[in-house]
Amino acid sequence: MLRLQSLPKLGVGINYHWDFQDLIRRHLDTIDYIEVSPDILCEEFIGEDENKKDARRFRLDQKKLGDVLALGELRNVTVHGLGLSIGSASGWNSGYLTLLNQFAQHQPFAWHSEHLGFTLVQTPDGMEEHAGLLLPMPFTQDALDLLCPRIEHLCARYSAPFLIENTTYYIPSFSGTDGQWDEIDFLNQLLTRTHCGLLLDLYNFYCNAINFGFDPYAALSRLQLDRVVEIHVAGGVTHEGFLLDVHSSEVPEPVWELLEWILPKLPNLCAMTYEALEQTLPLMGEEKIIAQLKRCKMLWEFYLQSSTRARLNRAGSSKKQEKKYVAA
Amino acid sequence: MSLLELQRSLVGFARGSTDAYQQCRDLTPLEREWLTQVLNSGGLRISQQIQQWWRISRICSTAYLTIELLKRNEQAELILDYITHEPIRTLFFAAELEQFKSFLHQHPQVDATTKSVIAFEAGIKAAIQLAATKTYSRTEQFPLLITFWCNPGTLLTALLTGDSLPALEEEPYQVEINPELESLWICHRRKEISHQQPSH
Repeated sequence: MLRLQSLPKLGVGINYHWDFQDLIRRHLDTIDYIEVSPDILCEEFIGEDENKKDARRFRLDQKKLGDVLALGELRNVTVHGLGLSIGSASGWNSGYLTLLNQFAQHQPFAWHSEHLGFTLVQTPDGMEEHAGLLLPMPFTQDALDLLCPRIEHLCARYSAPFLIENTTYYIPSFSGTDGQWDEIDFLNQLLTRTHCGLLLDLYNFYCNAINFGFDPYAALSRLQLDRVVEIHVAGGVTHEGFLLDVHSSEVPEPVWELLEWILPKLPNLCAMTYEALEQTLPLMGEEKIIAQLKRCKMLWEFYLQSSTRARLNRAGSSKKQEKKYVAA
Repeated sequence: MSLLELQRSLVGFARGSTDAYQQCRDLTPLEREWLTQVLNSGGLRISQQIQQWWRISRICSTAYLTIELLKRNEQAELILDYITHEPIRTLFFAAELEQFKSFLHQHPQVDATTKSVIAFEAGIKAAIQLAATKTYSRTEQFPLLITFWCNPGTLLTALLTGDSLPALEEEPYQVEINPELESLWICHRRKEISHQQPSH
């Protein structure tokens, strides 16, 4: 069961890559936690199982793991998975879960999360094919029926809660024969029917709004914002008229504006992550990456102050109510 | 259309194939309309390009020397051939490198030197990984022996520096890759190994 109020308020973090180690160590005053994808700490080996079908297994690189554990002594850790393929109709990647088990034995984490989508599919001849990128789920009842039990399993699997993340999509979305649900409706259905939290990737959402021409403010106003535990912000590039989710640059101003607008509406927000590809370090330079994190930090502190004031106000008005009842 | 059929169609589209889509049974008019819309969308082209960019970046960062040699041999089209026609099986570097190695080793137009270089790069990658997992055992693929028909040190240096490639020689060199070696690999002198014929 997700008890949002009891989750730790982690603050501001960055996705972990070994190239960022020095940057993180130099800026511990700005970086409160690291978000680790266990997938990047290992290599995948594809063999065959007893039925001559692909069997994926992962080997954790002890050196890379050791580096994360050393940073984990200094800062909190969250897990952000890449390889589960949670939405695959032919079965998710159980190798990833084995990997996550291994990681969990070494490093505690505040929560774990995964992208809403799929990468793997089984072909009619039983072979497993990879899409090469994360593809979106259709916003249908079938997809919901597949995802909800899987999400519930992930919620119960570890003592840490599970968050699902909204993703960027480039192909037109599909809502099935009913045609009733859009992305927000679908996310709300997932949240209503499961106990997971939401990792709201504002940049992903902004990309979808730009690429498919909808108003992100109006759409986000319909989302169950009380389930948002973590926010992602990032930057990317425009290519052939599409805004791409590549984490290669500074956060665009409209995303900062969206963040400022949405923060007061998130009663249970615990963390704010700036996502960057490792290639951004030589491209952008450390100073610019830290500037992005500092801007997040400023907004985070503003958020904490505002939510404390709001709590005090709520407590104040309930005390007044109490006095009224006593007087009555 | 079941969710599985939908996903097979989308993966096929992302890889430039409509086979799975054409095998879908009982498509409703709405489903057919949507799949046609996806097929003709700019977003699908973007999705295709994204998976190709990632794949090229995986190969270029792990098979740097092989890519350089293919370019020198005016066989860069083999890279495109691999990206376009070989199914994607992984998003991981080592597994992609192994798949690329298999592709080149089975390709009739690839010469023995290129096969040796890709085997060398895949072997070194696997040795590094195995050394890092601290689970090395002699039952695995190591020590790995790779035959070169030119001086491997000169060849690898030439690929890195842009110098001319060394000529093929009568007698082979043998490179041993072994996670137990500090340098991971060692080249044995020609006279230490028996005469062998090129592998193709």
